Amino acid sequence: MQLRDIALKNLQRRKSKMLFLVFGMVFGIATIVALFTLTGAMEKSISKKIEETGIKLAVTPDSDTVTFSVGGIPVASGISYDAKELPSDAVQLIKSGSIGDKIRVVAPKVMGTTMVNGTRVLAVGIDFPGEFAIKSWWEMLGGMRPDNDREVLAGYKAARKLDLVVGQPVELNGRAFTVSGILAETGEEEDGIIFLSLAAAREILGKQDNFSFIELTTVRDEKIASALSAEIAQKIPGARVKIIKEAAEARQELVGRFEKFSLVVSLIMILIASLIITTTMMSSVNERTREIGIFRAIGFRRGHITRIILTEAGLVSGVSAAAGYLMGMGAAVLIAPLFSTFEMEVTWNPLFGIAVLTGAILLGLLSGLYPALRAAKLDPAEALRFI
Amino acid sequence: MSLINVKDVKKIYNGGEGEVAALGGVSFNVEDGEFISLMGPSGSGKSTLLTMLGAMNPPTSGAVIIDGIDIYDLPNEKRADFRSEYLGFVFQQFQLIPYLNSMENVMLPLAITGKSNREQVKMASAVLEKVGLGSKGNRLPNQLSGGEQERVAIARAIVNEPPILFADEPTGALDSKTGEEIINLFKQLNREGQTIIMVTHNPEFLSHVKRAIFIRDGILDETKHPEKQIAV
Repeated sequence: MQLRDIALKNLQRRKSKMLFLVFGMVFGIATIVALFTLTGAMEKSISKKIEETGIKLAVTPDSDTVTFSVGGIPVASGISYDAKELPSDAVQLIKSGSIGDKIRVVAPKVMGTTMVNGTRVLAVGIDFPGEFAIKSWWEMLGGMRPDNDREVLAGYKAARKLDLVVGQPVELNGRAFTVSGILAETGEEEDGIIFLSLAAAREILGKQDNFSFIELTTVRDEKIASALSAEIAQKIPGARVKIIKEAAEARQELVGRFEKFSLVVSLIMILIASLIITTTMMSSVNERTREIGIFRAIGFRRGHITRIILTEAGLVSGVSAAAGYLMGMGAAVLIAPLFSTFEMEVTWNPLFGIAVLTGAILLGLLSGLYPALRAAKLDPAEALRFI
Repeated sequence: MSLINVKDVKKIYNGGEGEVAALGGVSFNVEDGEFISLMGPSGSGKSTLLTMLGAMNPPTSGAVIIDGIDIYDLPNEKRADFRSEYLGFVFQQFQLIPYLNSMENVMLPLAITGKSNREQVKMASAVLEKVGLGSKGNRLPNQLSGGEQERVAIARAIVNEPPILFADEPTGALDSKTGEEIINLFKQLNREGQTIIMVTHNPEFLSHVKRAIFIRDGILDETKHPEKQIAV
């Protein structure tokens, strides 16, 4: 018989009370684990996306008539339909800079309005591979991306508004094209746009070799992005260069807020768990006054009593932490697919498991400390009066 | 030198009605190997004196010296060690731990001695055998009769081989036949050299002991059974 055996036997005796405590703690720990696992997975997914995308810059002519935005974030303010444009050698100038090797993708655009089946829509000429590389969130609702100058890609709303289907012939300013694909809804301005090749856009819009604006991405280094921005502004007179806050970064802010929310919820859970442990252990100590009196009378030191109570608190917390961790991870795995936009991958991190276990046991010991000290301070003669 | 030397101990409690003297100056000696009864009516100060002898209740004044050690000079934790080493207790109503079986209840005082489980089982089995419960080590207290529970309580009190055994009304909850058996067990232990101090209010018990302490209103009552009185 060792002190831990006494603690274990007592827990076994108070099964229903201890199960109630364990269930409460398991629920709390599972919630915390699920929240942090999901937040971590979101952050990882976004960081990966941001890393892949790099930093985006928008090069626009220095005029102010139209703002083009993505995800509510202005990516190109001051785009004029007809007035100023970027020169035809802008792409070359950008790429030939001293830090041109840090550029990942250059996506020039030609914009203008055009008539489709009697309706005016915004047509944007793009370099499809470059544009798809920059717009990593674009998904095809149907069909495929155009691979020649006679094919167009319709935004989700544009396709609905114009009753366009994949493979359907369509006339833009009287010239014949085929709808090769339709984009899935993004909730942004691009939903209402018809995309076509740069050459085709210039043809239907009657434009020269100039560009309406250019988007480009660099490696993920803000210093490089700033240097590149300054260099482009210098090389292309009349161009305004803006470092764009990527939609993924906006999501990162959202995740940051979710992380804070998780932290607050966790702190509340920890506080509640701590109070539950303290009150349960206190009531257990009060019920065991007689028993503790006997222990003290037969020679148990205060330290022995403290150890018994703390062992009980630690055991309950440890078991709850193990079960809570497994349940929380299970919940995270089940919930993760619901956040499809984040493409989360829930990973089992043994270090996190160890941290949860250690944290919960420490919390149990801290919460059990006051009842344990109260029990240890019981005067054996007083306690034996209950006999 | 006497095994127990009680020197003019007083205990005054401060209650709502002012100071109450539970013990008003009690002195006596107990020799090694004696079997003594501590007798008196309810509220006479018996329990106060027993807890004081049991190193759990410091006197307001006076001293309790056991085996040459002034036990209330010891710090609190050392006094706990002293109880573990020197004293065995048989409480009223047995007071077994309900979730531990007989063997585990007897092993309880050994849990803080650092002895291995194997050693503890060996010692506990030997005392259970001695009190006649060798085959009932796996029974929980509620699976034992009153007499059997009392025997487990006695086994628990002596498993550490303490020099002094205190028993508080050990036959109070038993029928007369079982009570007689328990008294005989105590007498057997005393014959083997165990010093025993037993609290009781049953005058019939006097016939079993050579000496007794009579206490009334917190002081020794030397008028009762002078032939049994302890020499101070």
